[in-house]
Amino acid sequence: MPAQTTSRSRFLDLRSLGALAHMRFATRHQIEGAYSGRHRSRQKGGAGEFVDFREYSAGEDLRRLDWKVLARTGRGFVRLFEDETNLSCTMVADASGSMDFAGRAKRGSKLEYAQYLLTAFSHVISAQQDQVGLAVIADGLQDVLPPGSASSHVTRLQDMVEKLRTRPVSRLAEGLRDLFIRTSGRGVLMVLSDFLVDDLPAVFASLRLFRHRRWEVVALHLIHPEEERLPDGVAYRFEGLENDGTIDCSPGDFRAIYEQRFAAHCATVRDLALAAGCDYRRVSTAVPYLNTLSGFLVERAG
Amino acid sequence: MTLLHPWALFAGLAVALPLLIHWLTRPRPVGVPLSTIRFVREAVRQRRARYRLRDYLILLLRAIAVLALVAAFCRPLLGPRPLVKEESAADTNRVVLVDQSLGMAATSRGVSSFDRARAAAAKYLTFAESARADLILAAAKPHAASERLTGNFAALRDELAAARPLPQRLDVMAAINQAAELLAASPPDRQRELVIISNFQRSNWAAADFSPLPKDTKIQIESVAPIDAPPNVAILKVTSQGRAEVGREARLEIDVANYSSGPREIKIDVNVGRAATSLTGTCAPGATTTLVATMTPAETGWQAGEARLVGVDDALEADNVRSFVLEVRPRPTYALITREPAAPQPTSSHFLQLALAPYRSLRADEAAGEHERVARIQPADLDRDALGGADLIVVDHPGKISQQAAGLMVSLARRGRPILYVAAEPVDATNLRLLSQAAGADLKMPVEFLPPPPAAWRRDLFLTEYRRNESPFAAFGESLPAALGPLRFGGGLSSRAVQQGLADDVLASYSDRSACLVVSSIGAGTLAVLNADLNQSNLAGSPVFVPLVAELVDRLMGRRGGEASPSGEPLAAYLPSEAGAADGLAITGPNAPGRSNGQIMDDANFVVWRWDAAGPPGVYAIKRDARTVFALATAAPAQASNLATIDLTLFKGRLAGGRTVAVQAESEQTERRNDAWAWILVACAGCLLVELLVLGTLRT
Repeated sequence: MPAQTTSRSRFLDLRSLGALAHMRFATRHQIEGAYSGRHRSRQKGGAGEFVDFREYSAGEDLRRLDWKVLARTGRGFVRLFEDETNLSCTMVADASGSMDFAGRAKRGSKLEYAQYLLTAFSHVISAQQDQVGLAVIADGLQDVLPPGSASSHVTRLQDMVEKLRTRPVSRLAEGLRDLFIRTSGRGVLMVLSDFLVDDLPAVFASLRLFRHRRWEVVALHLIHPEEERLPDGVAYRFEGLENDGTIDCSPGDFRAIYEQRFAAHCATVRDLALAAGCDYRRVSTAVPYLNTLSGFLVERAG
Repeated sequence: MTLLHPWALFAGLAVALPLLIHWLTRPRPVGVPLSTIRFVREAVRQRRARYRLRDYLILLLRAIAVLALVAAFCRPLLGPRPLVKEESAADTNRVVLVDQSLGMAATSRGVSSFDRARAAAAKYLTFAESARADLILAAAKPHAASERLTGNFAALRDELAAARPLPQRLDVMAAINQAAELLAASPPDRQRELVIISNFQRSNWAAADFSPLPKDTKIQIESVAPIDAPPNVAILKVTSQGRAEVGREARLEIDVANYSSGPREIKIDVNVGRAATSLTGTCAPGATTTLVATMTPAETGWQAGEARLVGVDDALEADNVRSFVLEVRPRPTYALITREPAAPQPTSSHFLQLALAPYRSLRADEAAGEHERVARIQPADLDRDALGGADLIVVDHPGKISQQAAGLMVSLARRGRPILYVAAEPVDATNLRLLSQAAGADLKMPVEFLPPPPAAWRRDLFLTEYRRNESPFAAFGESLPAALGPLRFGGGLSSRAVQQGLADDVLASYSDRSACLVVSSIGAGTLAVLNADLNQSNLAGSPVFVPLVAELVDRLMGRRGGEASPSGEPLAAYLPSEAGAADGLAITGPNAPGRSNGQIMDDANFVVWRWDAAGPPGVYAIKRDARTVFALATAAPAQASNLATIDLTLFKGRLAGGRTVAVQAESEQTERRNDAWAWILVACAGCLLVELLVLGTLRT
């Protein structure tokens, strides 16, 4: 029974999301949840689905011993069952200044795109009785909403998303580290960021902390199309979004170098993510968020 | 270096033009927020070094281009700063000396050196308040436009505009002395300046010396000579070889000089009277070639002639033509003064008569007018009428001659009549002393002839010293020793050298160191003494006798002549005796009407034509009743044809005379220096091209 959201977030388009009602957010790894759910649990107990036999070792719970096999073979085997548990997903929203970039049209910023995507994700995850939480990181860990599945929780989360505002300083690595400290257990960590930070290795070092705790980490790399290629024209005054100052220049003089550097940045993010055991997905804001979401879900569903 | 248009320096402010253009046309940046500004910054930082270099290079090149453009407008004049400014300054006394000699008529690139000099001099004759100046046009005699320094610059410029090069040499010291007088007469508190504009021909300026000028004179030297001496071919001299006689082949020697770097084929048309001939030859570079024209005059008298180079393209046209005169005379008549009998006998006078007129002796049947004639005259019969028609007076065994006879001979000799005296007897010493006394200061014999001592036998004497390169011996060439070796002489006089006598007048000496042959001048004539008795010598029987006497007679009768007098130089010519007195003589010539042709005046026993400055080239004739009694050609001096210039640095050293001298080359050298603006424009264009190259190489 999907949770009934009462949110009035402008980013929640139930009509469009209805088309994704049959799709589920699936994990690729066994997870650890608080409640029984549709996701494979890392716990091998006796109430779940039989998966295998294992030779009995002294001291084990005799209740799990398969007596029939013992009678037939004379050797003790333990029946293994896999539990199904619910999903606990913590979404991390990068609210640094760079997320405000909306191109020269000044419409459809990366943050706005992330807001749509976060709202949709929260709806999809809560609809499958899984827990979803939110952490906002800008110049540090701003807000944390622990995972929950109640409709009121989801509404609150979506309200938080709607009220997201950027800050001119980005400390993503520190924010993730703080989040790691404040969380326990295992789950899914979904990071929506443009990863335009000063110290990328520190960010992924923080993510590796989650990975060490057996978290499944998904890195959604948001890229605005006008970030990939500088605008045509003779003279521009580029203004930084994170107290970076301004630069007067002619993009034509160094367009190729810029594109090389940005491509190198994207490749670095991807390489670091994969090296850290994260699931990396490059998300262009030019693609409608529903397409991005459906693609993501389809891919996860395998 | 000086600037022709220094006001154009203000345009140097235009060097800010590139910056201004850059500032005005720089793009106005559009503000765009960008999240990836860090990558922009890195990219800009990476490209900045390259583009900064490019920008600075372009700025530098544009600034240089603008400065070069400004410099080109300023028209820089490279070279040392002139000592004397072209514009007249107040309180200055300036003398502008312009060379007007023949060499200044030489053209290069269609412009004569004098035209360049005129333009250069005009710049120095600009009016300034309280400035004084004068113009000296210098040739053989310098001519000052004003007697003293004047402020009437317009008159000086008018004089300069009317000036033309003259066919004369430059008397440089006369010009400098005149400039010195003008400057010395000026007040000492005023700046003295001398500007000399010339082509500085070596032949004219080698003797220059500025020491006569006041010590504080600033001397500005401007050369208008082309960088390289232009090629020139010139007729230097036209002379007649031997005496021109009617019906006898005359030879004209024409010296042609080639002042070019390569050999020249030359053709000369020669006209004398009604006769004309043409000569061709090759003239080596830097050498003088002598061409010989032969012609046979048909009539006697003075004849004007002209030699003209045909088809020659050279720098100086004036020296391609040269006038000359040729006096065609009838066959000579010799007056033989002797007391020996006229009948043919083996006597000294007979031998002499045969040697003087050998053809007449051989061809007695031919017309008398075609050959030489010898008139034997007894010493007692000597008078002016007897000697008046003789071209040569020969004295042999005359015995004792009277004082009147000696005076008569000397007076004739002074007016050009030569005398050949054969001194054979002791009395001849007395006669020679009489002649010497009658001639006075006009005769300076190198030796004194004395009767031989009674005990001394003068015989078997032979020649030990003789001037082989002079007439009459030069004609024998290499065979001279063989010809003179067998000769043995006897008789004659002893001789004693005279102090302050001209030893070169002794042409031959005997083995006893007495003189054999002496030739000395008496006024316009010549006295030759052959110290031998032909009766006691084997000379008369020798094969060299006739040619030796002929050569000696040629020398005495002045058969080499006709050389032109230099234009502009003082002239003094003795008229021949047949010209008569000065009254009734008139001079005609190519000189412009109203110009002086000199004066003809009686001077003691002579009639002299004096001219303080010979006129322009051509033939001048002195006539009495439409009959030409004398003619003379004037021509440009031969040394003026050599256009080689003197090293101008000498004026700063050896020739400066302690004065402050600045040398500035004008003409083509200046044009080359003035071409600097063109090269600067080329540099400007080069900067723009390099800018395009930089933009292409460091393109975006």
